Order: sequence, then structure tokens, then C-alpha cells
Amino acid sequence: MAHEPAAADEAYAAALEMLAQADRLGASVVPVGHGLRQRPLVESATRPVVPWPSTRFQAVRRWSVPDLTVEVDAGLPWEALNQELAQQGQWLPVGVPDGAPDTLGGIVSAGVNGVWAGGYGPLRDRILSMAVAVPAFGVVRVGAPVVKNVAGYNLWRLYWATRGTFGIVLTITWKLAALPRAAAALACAGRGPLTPDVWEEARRWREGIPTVPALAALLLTIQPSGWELTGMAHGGEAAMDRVRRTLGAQVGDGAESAVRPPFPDRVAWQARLPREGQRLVLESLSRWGARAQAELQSGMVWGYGDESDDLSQRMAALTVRQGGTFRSWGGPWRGLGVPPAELDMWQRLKAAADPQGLLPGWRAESEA
Amino acid sequence: MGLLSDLRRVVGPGAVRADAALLDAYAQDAYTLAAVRPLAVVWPGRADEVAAVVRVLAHHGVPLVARGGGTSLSGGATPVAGGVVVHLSRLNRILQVDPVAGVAEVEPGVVNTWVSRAAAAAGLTYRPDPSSQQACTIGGNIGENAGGPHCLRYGVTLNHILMADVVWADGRQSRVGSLSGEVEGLDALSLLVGSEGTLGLITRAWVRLEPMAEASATVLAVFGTVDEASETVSGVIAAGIVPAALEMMDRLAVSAVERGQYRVGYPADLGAVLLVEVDGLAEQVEEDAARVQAIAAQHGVTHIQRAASEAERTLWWANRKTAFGAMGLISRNYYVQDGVIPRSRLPEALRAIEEVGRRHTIRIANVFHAGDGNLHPLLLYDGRDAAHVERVQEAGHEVLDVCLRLGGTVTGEHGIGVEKRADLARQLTAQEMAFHRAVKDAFDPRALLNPGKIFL
Repeated sequence: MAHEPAAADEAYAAALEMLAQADRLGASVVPVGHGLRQRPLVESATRPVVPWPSTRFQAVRRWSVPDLTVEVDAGLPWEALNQELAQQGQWLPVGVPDGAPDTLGGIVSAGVNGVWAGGYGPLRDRILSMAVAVPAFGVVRVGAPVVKNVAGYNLWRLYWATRGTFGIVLTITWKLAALPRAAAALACAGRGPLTPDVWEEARRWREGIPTVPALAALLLTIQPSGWELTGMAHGGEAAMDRVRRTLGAQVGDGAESAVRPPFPDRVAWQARLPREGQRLVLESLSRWGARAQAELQSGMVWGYGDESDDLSQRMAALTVRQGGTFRSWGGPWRGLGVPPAELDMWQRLKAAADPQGLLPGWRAESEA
Repeated sequence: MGLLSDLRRVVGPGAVRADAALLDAYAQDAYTLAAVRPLAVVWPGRADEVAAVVRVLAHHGVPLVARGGGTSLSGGATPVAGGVVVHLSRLNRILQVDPVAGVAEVEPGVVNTWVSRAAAAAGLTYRPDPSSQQACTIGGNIGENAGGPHCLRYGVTLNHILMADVVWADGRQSRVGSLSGEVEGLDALSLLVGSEGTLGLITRAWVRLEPMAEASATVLAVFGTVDEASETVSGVIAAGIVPAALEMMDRLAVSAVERGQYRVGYPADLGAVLLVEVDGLAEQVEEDAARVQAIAAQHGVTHIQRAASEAERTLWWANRKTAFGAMGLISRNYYVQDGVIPRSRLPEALRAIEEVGRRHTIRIANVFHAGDGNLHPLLLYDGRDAAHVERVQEAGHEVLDVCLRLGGTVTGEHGIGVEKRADLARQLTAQEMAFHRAVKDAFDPRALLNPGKIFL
């Protein structure tokens, strides 16, 4: 009744062989998709690294159109998946903020939340199941490929943003969304630092679309020369027509281009802020002359440029003070955060799952 | 010192009891097929008392079961032989409702509906709405990762808990999660939610509140056959419509609720009823409701109407949400199952369940969250007949076999508890079970927190 034996699958077998090889070599296995977010991890490794080339496997394994679910190999780039899904009017609301061609496994391992996190919920909440290679347990399935499941612990959450600490992600089953039937775009901009007008306009848009969530995306782009506020609404044509009439939105194909990577650079860090801390942090970023984009409904913020610079260090400190989280995708790898009260528990779990220490990512901040 | 006197020193003499009549009352939760009399019941009144109680029990090597409203349908709060029940009902304060942050800070003994009631003045609501929401507590909801009809669109408890204070197995306390909704690094909160009290005890939680939608429409659709209703469900989902709720009741279930307090007046010859609720912008609601009605028409709906008033909507929902209890009107006992299938497999799943009932000569009513494929077959029986009880339990496992065969899972929202330990072991491989066991051993190495649940 349980799922098929691991050895029957080529990707499963290859991952297990790589773990065995790393064990023989005294090396670490680091999954590398397109290498966009794992670079610091590889660079800071203290043991020889055997890269797991996840892009070797990039199939759409099982797509149930009527269920709005799909199982894919971790090495599949998100854009390729969405191109395929679009043929049946579906999509995975990823929207990587710098538009980079991340693999879906990379997105999971680095915890990349995209521009649709406000409108469609955090990407993490769309994961139903994964197949993962765990040194101590072989290839196991965590979660279940249905939209509701409480059979056992939420083990798939061990793989979100933990850089392969507990295993190599091989496949992911996602809950999909229907492509919107219509869209409407809102925009306004100003020069110089953020002014109260920004918050007033954002409030007006949100209150003008009184539903949950108000917008598919509500993006504030900050740069040294000024700011730009962009809203994107998704829905049926009648609802979008109302958004146009009441808020002056642009409707139709042109609206689609309103959500695009704001800068040519890669995102260096991602933060997530509680609602109350957002305004303070974003106004600080604006005063500091940062280049950043925020999704105001979810509290996601992405910083562009050099992660190791003074500005991003200040942002990290300010985010944490405001009760938010900060995730670096560049600069030196600082390890995963573990509160001291939990440290021994996580160490026991790590030892049970990866007794030879074949997997990266285990360097708790509280140990430093 | 003895265990009870140590506990009384921590929480006061009135908050520890071990008299037989009371212990019998705590011997089971809403899963009535298992009963174990505990050693004692303790009512801590503060988080530090919870921690002190856990330390005392750890010192004596005595296991504990945390209990909220006692509404678990899988025996998640069934006591452990020789163990103590830690009843968190005195930690029942709503400490803060912050409408700006969209967060409520609550203690674990707060009843589910209290949160939405407290937030209503600010136009906010707490989404997870299990059918037992008048009695179940937030602590229990976290332990079981509770769902409910409206989780189809808005997600289950896991998606609505931002942060929590925890007492670990050795009595240490820490705060897990973050008000931002994301954790940098290792995420203990996600493991705690749905862990059935086997990893730690929640003493405070910060839950997400959301604004009510501008408009909603509730559509009631009557079909001549279960197949037609099932195909309508599949059609709605396949059309990309994600209603706020999409519920189904079959003929036997309807015959029970129509004898109860909240009578809708369904036609007698129906095969199944769908209750579909869509919400959002007024224009969107109109469009979605019309599309739902059109899809139902394509699948042979015999009667369809929209709730004309809030009172009518409330009646329909009361009718649906009291369906489990209404089984008492048509059967001496009932046993509710909980399994999930891919929602496109609904027609064949219901046919297979009907066949299970026929094979075991058991009447099975179906009341369930059709939109997410979460089945709740209600197996009707007479508890005085031991052979009947045995057949019901066997049929219950066969229902779960159907779910597994169709690619589903053995529980969508009721948890494993004591009831489904063998079923979980059938769903997962030995290695997957070992991974789960490693989590338990890492967080509770002495197996003092709700032992005997989840694992055989």
C-alpha cells in the first residue's frame, strides 16, 4: 500500500549512490540546480563537496489536471513548469523576484518566496509532498500527494529553506492554481525617499478591493532615485472591470507586464516582516538608498546588490529587531538559526538523519 | 516526595485530582472505542506552572497527555496507563487581538469560536473551523492540525499559526515561529503543529486573523445520485474555482440531519446534497456562483438555490455542522472515519465505500469536505453487539484501504491518535516510519509526551 520501492526510480537510485560515494570520500553532498542560491554554502564548506546535479532530472512526473496537483523532479526550472501548466490553464504562483531560472528544488532549499506570496499565499504552503534522499533512511516520501493530510509529522517543512540539511529533495508535489481569467494593474510612482503618499495609496487600493487577499501582488519598488507602487489584481472580468472603474486600473494584456523583475541584478537577500514593522523597515531602506522590492500584503522584501555590504547588514539587524526573518542568498554562509533551547533536539534529529554528516547546512548560529 | 504531592506543590491542592469518578470521566475523548483511566488530572493555570508540572512528571518518569476540549476523534487525548492528564482549560485567556497586525494572542485553552468572536468587532476572523469549534480549543487544534469546511480555500491550522510558546519534554520553554509567518532556519513550529502533543506542550499561540470577504454566496444543490454530485465537485475544481467551502451529504446523512433541530426541508428522494460557498468581491461571487450552478446543471442537478438571507445560510450550515451528532437520531452508535483521496477520484471512492458497507452489512452515511477530497464516512452500529463493533472497525480500516489505493492518506484532519497507528504504518514505508520515530526521539527522548499515539 505504501509507495513504490526507491530503487525502482532512476533519480532515487542516483541520489543514494551519490550519498554512498560522498561517504566513501569523506565529502559533503550539496544539491546544485543552477547554482543561484547555494553558492555561499558551497564556498563555505569545510569538507570536499560532491555536487548533486539536480538538473539531471527535470521531468513533470504526475500532473493531475482535475486535482490541480503536479509532481515534478526537483531539477525542473519553475518557468518550464509554468509553460507546461499554462497549456491547461494552470500555474504555480512562484514569481522568483529576480526572474532567475531557479529549479524548483533550489526554490525549496533556499526558501525563495516570490512576488505572489501575498495574493496566493506563501509558496511553502503549496507543497503537498516530497521524495527526499536521507542518508539514514534512504529515499522517503514526506507529506502526501493530496490537498489535506495529517498523517504523521509535517516532515516536508524540514526541507523548506534548510539548504539540504536533512536530505536531498528529489521530487516535489505542488498544489496548483488556475490561471486568472482576467487581470488589472495599478501603478503610481514618486521621486526621492518614500513619503506618506505611498502608504495612503496602498491603503486606498486595498480598501477598494475588499476581499482576501485584496490583490494578487502589491509591490513597492525602492531605489535611490525614487519609488514605484504596483498592484496586480486577478479574477473574473466583471471583478476586474470594477477595479478599473473604482481605482483607475489598467485592464487586459498590458496589465501582465506590470509584475517584472525591477532590477537587472540578482536578489542578494530575502526578508519577511510582520505587518507592524513593515513601514519602519521600508522607510529605512529608502533613506539608506537601497534597491529593494517589497510585497506589502505578505511582508516579503527582497534586496538587490551585494549582500556583504553595510546596507544589507543593517537590514538584517533591523529585520530581526522588528520580529522578522532574514535570509541571505549571497555573501558568507552564516548557518541556520537555532534557539539554544532547541539546539540539543535538532542535533539529535540531525544525528539520526545524517549520522555521517554527509549533508551541508548544519552550523547553528547559537553554536557560533 | 510522592508524585501527587509534588504536583500539588506546583499548582495548588485544588488543581490536582485523583478521585475515581473524575478519572473515569477523563478516560476517553471523543473517540469512544478506547478508554484508559489516568493516574491523576492536573489543571495548571499559567505557562510556568505547565513547565513545572512537566518537570515534576519528568523527574518521576511519569508520562502525560495534554488535553484541551477532549474532542479528538482519533483518541489523541486518550490517557496513558499510569500517566497524568494535563488539562489546559485554565489557560483560557485571549490576551490580545491586534487588528493592525492581524494577529490574536491566545492561550491554548481558548475555544476555537471565541477567537473569531473576539475579532469580529474589527471585521476579522480566524479561519480554521472544525465542526467541533464550539468546544474544541486552539491548543487542541494546533496539536491535531485541525481543518474544517472553510479550510478548502483558506488552509488548515498549520497555515494560521504564526508563533507559539512551548514547553518541551524536559520542562524547558522556548518561543517558536515568528510573527512574520516565516522562520529563518529550522522550523520547530511546523513540527509541533499536528504532532498530537507528542513533541511539546503549547502554552501560548499567536494566530493569524483575516478580514471577512466583501460578499459570499451559498449554493445548495440537490442531486438524484451521489455520482452526479461527485462529478459536480470534480467539475468545479477542474474549472479552477476554489470555493470557500464545498461540502457533501448523502441520502442517509440527510435523513439524519432532517430529523434534528436544524431542518432544511430537503426532498425525500435525493441522492446527495452539495453545499457550496464562494466568497470574494461581489462581482466575483456572482460570476463564481453562476459557474457553479452551470456545472451542477451539466451533471443533472434536480434542485438548486442560493441562500436568500443570512438566516437561511446559517440554517444550512447548522444543518451540515450538526450532521455527526444527528447520527444519534438514526443509530445507537456511530463511528466516524476520516481519510483523503485525490478529489477527482470521488465517484469511485464513494462507490467503493458503499461496497464496504454492503459487504459488512453496515449502514454508512457520508458527510464530508468534498472540495478537498476529505471523506468522513459515518459507520452506524449498535455498541451493545460486540460482533457489530468488530465489523465496524474492520470496515473502517477497509475504508482507509480505499483511500490508500486511490493515492490518498489515512487522515485529513482527525489525526492518528490511538485509532490509526496501524493504518499509518500501512501508509508509510518502514523507513518513513523510522524517520517519524527519529523526530519523536529527538524531541522527547524519554517518550513522556503522549506516548502510544501515532506510533504502534
